[in-house]
Amino acid sequence: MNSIEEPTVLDTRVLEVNMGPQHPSTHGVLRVKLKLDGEKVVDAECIIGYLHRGIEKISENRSYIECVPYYDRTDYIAAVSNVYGYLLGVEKMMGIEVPDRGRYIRIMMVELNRIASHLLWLATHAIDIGAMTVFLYCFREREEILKLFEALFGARLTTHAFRVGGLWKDLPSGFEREVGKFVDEFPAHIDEYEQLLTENRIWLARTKGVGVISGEEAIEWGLTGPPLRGSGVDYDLRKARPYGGYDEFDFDVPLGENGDTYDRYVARVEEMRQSLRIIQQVLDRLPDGPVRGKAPKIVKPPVGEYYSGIESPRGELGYYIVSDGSARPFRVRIRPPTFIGLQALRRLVKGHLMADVIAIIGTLDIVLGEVDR
Amino acid sequence: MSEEDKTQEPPKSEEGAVQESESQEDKQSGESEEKKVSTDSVKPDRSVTTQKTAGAPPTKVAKKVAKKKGPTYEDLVDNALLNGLQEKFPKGVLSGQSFLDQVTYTVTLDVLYDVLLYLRDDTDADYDYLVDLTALDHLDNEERFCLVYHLYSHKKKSFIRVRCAVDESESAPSVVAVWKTADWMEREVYDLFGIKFMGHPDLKRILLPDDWHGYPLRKDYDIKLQDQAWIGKHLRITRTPE
Repeated sequence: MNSIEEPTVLDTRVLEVNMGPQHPSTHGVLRVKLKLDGEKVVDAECIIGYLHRGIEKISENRSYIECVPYYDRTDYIAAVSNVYGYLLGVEKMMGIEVPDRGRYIRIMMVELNRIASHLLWLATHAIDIGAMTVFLYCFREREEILKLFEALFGARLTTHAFRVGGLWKDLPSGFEREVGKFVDEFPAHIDEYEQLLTENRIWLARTKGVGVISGEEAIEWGLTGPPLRGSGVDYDLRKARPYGGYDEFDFDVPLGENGDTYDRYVARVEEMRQSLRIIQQVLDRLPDGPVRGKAPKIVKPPVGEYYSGIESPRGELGYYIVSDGSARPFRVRIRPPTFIGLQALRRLVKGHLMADVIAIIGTLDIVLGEVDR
Repeated sequence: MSEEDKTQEPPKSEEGAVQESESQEDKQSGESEEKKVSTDSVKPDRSVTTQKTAGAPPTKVAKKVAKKKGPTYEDLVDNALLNGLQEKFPKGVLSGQSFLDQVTYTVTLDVLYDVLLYLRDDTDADYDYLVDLTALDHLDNEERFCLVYHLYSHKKKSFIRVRCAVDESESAPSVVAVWKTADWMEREVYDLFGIKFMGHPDLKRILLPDDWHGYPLRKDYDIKLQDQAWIGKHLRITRTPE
């Protein structure tokens, strides 16, 4: 789809088209100013900020504990991971130990969240390209995960999942059984999605060779997560800079080769399988004991700074926490994976058809709440 | 330390009092008050601080209070990268410190670009990935802002931080030519802190509207403060000033 013959006789003029901010395929309020030569994209400029809420500024005016729910609302698709990254940083600065049971449950919930996030990505990415059935299937399974979230956290989306030192409370009765049931059933569903897409001719035509980026260039553009691994760079923070006890679990980091939209799709689908592996190991080894360590009621980290980076479903999510010794952060900088990844859109869409822009926005898996904060 | 306290003073007076009263059982609750009230408890801390910050830049002074327990900044000893940097930039590299196993190098503004370029290109360093770029506002410091670069080397699997003090009147060199990913990060710092980057291809606001006035992440920008003129013009909301 991406190879177009240059017009020889007809003379065309560059046309500027606004995509968004209210466009179903921009996954939120993203405005892309496209310069088109016929159907071919000459240039694309992203205009963002429609959802800016000043969360970093708010953080400076709240206590360390009061900050937590705000981070749910940055990347609302992966709220559990967001809170996790921040709390790991605070706990590190405070020297708080989380008991094993708490650590394991956290990892289980974060991995469930990764699956839920990838499911939402697959659903919307597929429907953008035109596969309606996958959309319905993915939402069906995501619903099961959201029910688990509701049982444990009391909320489906803005979960306020964890507390300083561990979890708010232990798992409800029967929770492990429900998770086990999900882990048993879900691989068959992944096969189902793959049956619909992986060798589908239309899917291949729309994704193969679209938005190609080499590993080196992906690093230069600051891409992380599946967009980077789709280009074959082995960088997963769970392996590269292990946190929270991920080094105790066995899992593989799926890598692509060609760095195109299709490889990023394959990488994400395989990541769901790897997440299931981690969850299964948690279920097998879940120890008894408390879920929350000893944490002071008022959190006052010592003067200093710490960068806590985690592998969120979308890539490297970092919290750079600077403390001046008071009960409020001097500064919390959120390093959002999609804000930094989105700037590569300009590079990725150049020379493609306008219809491919939609596929490429989808493959970057952006969440505008996080881009704009 | 005292400078830092002053900056934090206004917001503390509102809610800080409430929080402190909640935490009567908590051991750490009284500490910030202790610092101000009883000079005795401060003195030993201060002696440690001055010793350690002897060669450190002004930005660091505010950041360092040695506590009874908990992590502290420690000067790097026999660090290959620090030695290499100091050899190459004898005057520009001010310190290399480690805090909670994260290494921070502090450099001066005039060598900042060269240091970052060296860190990317030198085979001993090879920091090919700019993780993050942000700024801090130390309102009362001599040099007000502090730029913070987080770098990662995919080959060496090493993570470092580079800090550089920037005065309000100064502008920083843009590193878009070094790492393309710096483009939006620098625009964001410009948008929220008002630090200008020389040589940036398209330095304009990114999160806030183009015609907004003020830089929200500065410490003297109150959280309730808004650009009333902008709101009146674009949203047709007029409010009486409080």
